[in-house]
Amino acid sequence: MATSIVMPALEMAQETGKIVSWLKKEGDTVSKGEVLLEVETDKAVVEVEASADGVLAGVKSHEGDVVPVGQTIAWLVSPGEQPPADLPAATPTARAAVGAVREAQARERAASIDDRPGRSAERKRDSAQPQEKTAPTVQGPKSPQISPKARRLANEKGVDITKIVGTGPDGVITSEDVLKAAEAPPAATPVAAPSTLSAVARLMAERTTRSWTQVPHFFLVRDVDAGGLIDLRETLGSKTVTHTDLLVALVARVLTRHPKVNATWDNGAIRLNSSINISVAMAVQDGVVGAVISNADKAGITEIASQRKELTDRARNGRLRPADVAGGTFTITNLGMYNVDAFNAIIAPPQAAILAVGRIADRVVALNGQPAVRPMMTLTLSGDHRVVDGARAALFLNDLADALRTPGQWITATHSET
Amino acid sequence: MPETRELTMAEAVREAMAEEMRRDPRVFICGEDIAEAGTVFKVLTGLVEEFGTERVLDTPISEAGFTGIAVGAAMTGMRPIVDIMFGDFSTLVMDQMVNQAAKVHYMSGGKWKVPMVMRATLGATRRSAAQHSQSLHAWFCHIPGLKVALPSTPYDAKGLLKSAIRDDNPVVFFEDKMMYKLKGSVPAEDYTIPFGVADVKRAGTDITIVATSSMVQVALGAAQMLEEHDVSAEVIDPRTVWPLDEKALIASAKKTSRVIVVDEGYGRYGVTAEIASVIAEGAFFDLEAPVKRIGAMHVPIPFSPPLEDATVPNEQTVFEAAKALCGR
Repeated sequence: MATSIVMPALEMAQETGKIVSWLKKEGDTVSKGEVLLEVETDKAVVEVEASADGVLAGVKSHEGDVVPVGQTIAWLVSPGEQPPADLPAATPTARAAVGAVREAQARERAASIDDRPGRSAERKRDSAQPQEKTAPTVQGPKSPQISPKARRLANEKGVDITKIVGTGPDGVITSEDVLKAAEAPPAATPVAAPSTLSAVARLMAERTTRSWTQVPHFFLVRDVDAGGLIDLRETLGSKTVTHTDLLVALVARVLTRHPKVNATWDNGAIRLNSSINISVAMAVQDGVVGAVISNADKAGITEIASQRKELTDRARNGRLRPADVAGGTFTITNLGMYNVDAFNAIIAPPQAAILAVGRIADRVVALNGQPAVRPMMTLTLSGDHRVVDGARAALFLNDLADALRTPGQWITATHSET
Repeated sequence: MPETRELTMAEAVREAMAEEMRRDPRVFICGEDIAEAGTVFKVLTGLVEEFGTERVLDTPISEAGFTGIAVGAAMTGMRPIVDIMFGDFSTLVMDQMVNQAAKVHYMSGGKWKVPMVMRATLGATRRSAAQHSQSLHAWFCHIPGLKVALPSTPYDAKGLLKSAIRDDNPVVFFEDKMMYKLKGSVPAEDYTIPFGVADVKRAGTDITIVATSSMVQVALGAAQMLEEHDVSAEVIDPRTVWPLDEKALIASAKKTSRVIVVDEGYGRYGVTAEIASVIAEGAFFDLEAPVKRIGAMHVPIPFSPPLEDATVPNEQTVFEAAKALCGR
């Protein structure tokens, strides 16, 4: 019996996947569990395994193709068997090689995170269906009724008809509506751009826009003396431990006393997170991703350092797995290596705060009534005002500054501090 | 300054025939009650006095017979005009028109021609009941070899009929029996109107109403009502439904982007269907809405006056449809 191989859904709000490469080709005999192809999802490259023994046939999608989630991209057939004609995939049989991410989880997240109007209801309905029906219905927003003339004009003028409210009979979009929309101030990006964006870039654009426009940000700035941090790094071994690693450990430990800074805005309610998972913003080819160090409050510094290094390597190679970027509760973003003194960061919802770390630079400061040159660092905390207010956030920042003065009291070379 | 008179449609039709009979001795008329009676609609009154019973020929009640006579006469060099009192009687002449008149030129390899005109009436609301109220012109449009003219004004009636009489092909000429008293200006001097040339009866920018025969008058009335609602309607009359001025219809549709087609025949498989498809094919990407068709309801035309009036399009139905199409 032919088994369909579909574009897997592995990511939050993932709509499409891009085929990076086929490791097997049409006609190859494969066994269950063998890797068939690599797929680039929103933030990671995953391997798709064969779900059954068989012969790879009917390969419809090729390297570089962007395919809607749930769409059949090839078939596994018995020797000599023909792949079925184009039928909707009844059962998504392809599994991701990544065990940590279950499809169900991905769907659940998709349903909770994708809050674009008109979609979440659809998605939720989908996710409520029994398993065998879960090949996600891939469809864009319901295409509006539009007159032929209006459609032609929209194409000619590059107007996005999904953004037009029709004024014709029964809400039909007329040419007048299109012309009005065409006269409106041009969009910031040319219409053709989205198709050329990579998944990472597109997602980054969507998420930062959503956060910046929907999350009420406020910012607290604090200059701290980084002398203690530098000393501790020397003690621990600067080859293996970075300032970021130390900050991850310190922030996580301080967060244990400030649960609201480690909370989540959840549809009108504040949800305190039971674990402290620190996302570390990492630059990748087309944007930035938050790689997660889970339970960083309990992890020792060497563990944090080695995890962070592994994540950095994977990010650099575009090999982050979905699990690597899931579940963060607080983000640290450090632009010190680019000689930035201070900056304001955009919160990564559903997290409630993000810490922007500037470079460590020698500055003249007053010390015991005397000018002194100290290695200083500027921390800027962005908070979601729905979750955390200025005073609470200031208390957290104050505790963090204290911890930075005496980091050795919080972090030791061994696991004993936990 | 050319002389222009106000003539009724009946007078214009009569004048066209009289002038062509004076101009060409081969032209003659045959039909029922056409000589002394001048037809039941009094369209031919006075012609027998001028041209005599040899050229204004009363026939027995036998449409198939006298239409056949006309086809034979045309083949042998005459230019007959056949008078079919009610278009409903087309049923009786179909073999002569469809299998003979329309085919002879083709089947004789061009050796024979049939330069005849079949005049008939169409139109409801005369309280003439189901067998005398139909508009069956679409039947003839379906047949290669026949031309079909549908005048909507006295001016068009005269010019088109003169063209029909001078045409070397069989032409079916339908007059709406309710329009014979309609008055309009008609020049005194000789003129003809070519076939296949539509006429914009009223220029407009928001919606095109394509209308035929008496429906042109209905459309003009509706356009007047629409103007009071700030809808500028263009009324265009193809004048001949075959040949059909597709270019003009498509151009008007492209200009206004909304089209209603009104014809008094049945909508199903009717003239409105053909015109709507011509417009949909030619102007699809310039349309704001589907082409709307309005024709007679798909029922026998009732005798009951209120029911009969409800069966065929009128100014109010066209007005309402146009308003809805424009989203007003």
